[in-house]
Amino acid sequence: MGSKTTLHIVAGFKGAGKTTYINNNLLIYGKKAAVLLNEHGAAKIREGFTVRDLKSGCPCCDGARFFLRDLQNFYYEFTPEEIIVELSSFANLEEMYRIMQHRFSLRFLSGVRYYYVINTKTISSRELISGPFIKTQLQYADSVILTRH
Amino acid sequence: MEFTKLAYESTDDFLYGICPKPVETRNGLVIGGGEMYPEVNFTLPPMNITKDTMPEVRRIYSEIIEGVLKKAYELHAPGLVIEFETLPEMTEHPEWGIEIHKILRDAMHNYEDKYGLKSAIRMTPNDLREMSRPPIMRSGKYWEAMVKTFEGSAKDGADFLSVESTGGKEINDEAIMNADLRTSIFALGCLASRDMKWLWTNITQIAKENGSIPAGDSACGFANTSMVLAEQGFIPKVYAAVMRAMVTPRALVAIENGAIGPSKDCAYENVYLKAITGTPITLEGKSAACAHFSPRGNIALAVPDLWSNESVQQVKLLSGFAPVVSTEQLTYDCRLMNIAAKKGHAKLMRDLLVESDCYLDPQAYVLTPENVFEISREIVKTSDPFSRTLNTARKTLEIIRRGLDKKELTIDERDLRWLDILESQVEEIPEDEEEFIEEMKDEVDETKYRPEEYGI
Repeated sequence: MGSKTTLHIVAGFKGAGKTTYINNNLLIYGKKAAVLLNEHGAAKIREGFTVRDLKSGCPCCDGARFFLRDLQNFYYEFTPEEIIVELSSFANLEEMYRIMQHRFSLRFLSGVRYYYVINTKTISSRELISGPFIKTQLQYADSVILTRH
Repeated sequence: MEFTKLAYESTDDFLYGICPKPVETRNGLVIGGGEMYPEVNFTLPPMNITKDTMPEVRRIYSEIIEGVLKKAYELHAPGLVIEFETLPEMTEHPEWGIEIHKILRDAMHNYEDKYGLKSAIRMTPNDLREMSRPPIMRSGKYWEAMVKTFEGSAKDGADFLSVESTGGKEINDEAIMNADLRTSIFALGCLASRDMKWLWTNITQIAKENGSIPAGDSACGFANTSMVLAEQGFIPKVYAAVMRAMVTPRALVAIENGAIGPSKDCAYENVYLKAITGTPITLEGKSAACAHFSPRGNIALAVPDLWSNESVQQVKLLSGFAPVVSTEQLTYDCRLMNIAAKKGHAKLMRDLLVESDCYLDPQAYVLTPENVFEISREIVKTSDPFSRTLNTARKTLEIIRRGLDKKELTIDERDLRWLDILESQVEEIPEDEEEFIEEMKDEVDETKYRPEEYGI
């Protein structure tokens, strides 16, 4: 087993600023990072980094059974130092946390960090629709990122 | 064919295992003729599906079907339906899907010849069209692959042809996220219904040419997505409850264009279809907890003709492989339901199943036989899918409100607030479809869909 990889799982509603956060904070030039995308928003991952679509679909529901497999394939194809997964708006951090409890087969992972990105301009309307969901996301996030755009 | 009244005079006759228009397969299995049968669905464990892994894929499907048939035979199942819902790679490469269908069908024939176990197979190719964005609905490689899969499996003896079609889903996906009933009504009443007419005319033609039965279409990506997201607290339950009823006019288009049932398992809206058309239906409830959770575990078993498990992977549990476990659970459920019916207790059985769920969640409440009839009567008052969809939304909201006023339905504060919001969303929708389409053309992101693919 070669060098270990950190997995960053980034969740948030569409338009929250997930991609912008990834571009500005998680993708560091000089460090070999690669991104798995579950949702394409208006912003694009900046050039110079490997980007792939998560083929198995939403990792916390239908795609759950394939997520660990896809992650493993992705690692062995690119051997990045950091893997960043940008989740779809629907994706549930609680489910992701549970899935990652079964990561014993993924020995290349040194750790997993969970991020929840919130756009403070739209959060009140989102809270009206998705209040209980947001509470759960906050419970399972290691870092909560507040954006305003 | 256009439905203008219900297939039933009274809810007393609206029962499981029997319907006014039963369907008979080539080998004489009658669905809706008085007996409820299990419908078992299964899928692969996590693995890649490629040319190189196809030998292993074939081996696993052989292993699954042998296990399922053996268990059904051991438990004296009076009959059995198998659903083969392809994985996307198997529709993209139609020869793979057709080959697996043949493996399943051959094993089923073999069991019937050797042991007399009558069975039928439902073939459900994926609707691949949404893989191109915005989707191309009526031509192109994805549509051609679907046609080849339907044709090849029908030629190979598929009894039932089904699909979970995705017309309008490209617009509805965002509407769900925002609990936006107005856009959902556009997606379902204006887009999905137009696609269903075109799609089911084609599927029915393929079925007729090859001796298969055009069975039905589930709005899985609409109403079930809503149900699952409501379960997670992402959207309000009342929105998911309205969505469930509101997908019925879309499903009805399949029947009006040739489908005759049994409609697919994950379509909980099937109860409205059965009330309107009298065709047989499949449902899933607690039996599908292996695939997803739902607030309607018991009530879903109240009136179906086939009882399903949605889908389960070939993984080993303590007792055996999961599809065999599902087969046992479904067979025992059907055994109990059938014996209750034979002893004259079908209505009592139905009512117990209904009452154990219906007051605890609006998504279950809209499925009681009385509410099903009330919503279904509203649907058949008009003939165009848009009016039917709009009227269904209004009626369903009215029923939920009435349930609250009568203090028989329980919903939380958040859902109560959303009931008000949804009522006001619906109030603002014009009665005239053309006027509504013009309004929505300005509101909906035009990069998300191709209006011409829907003929608008």
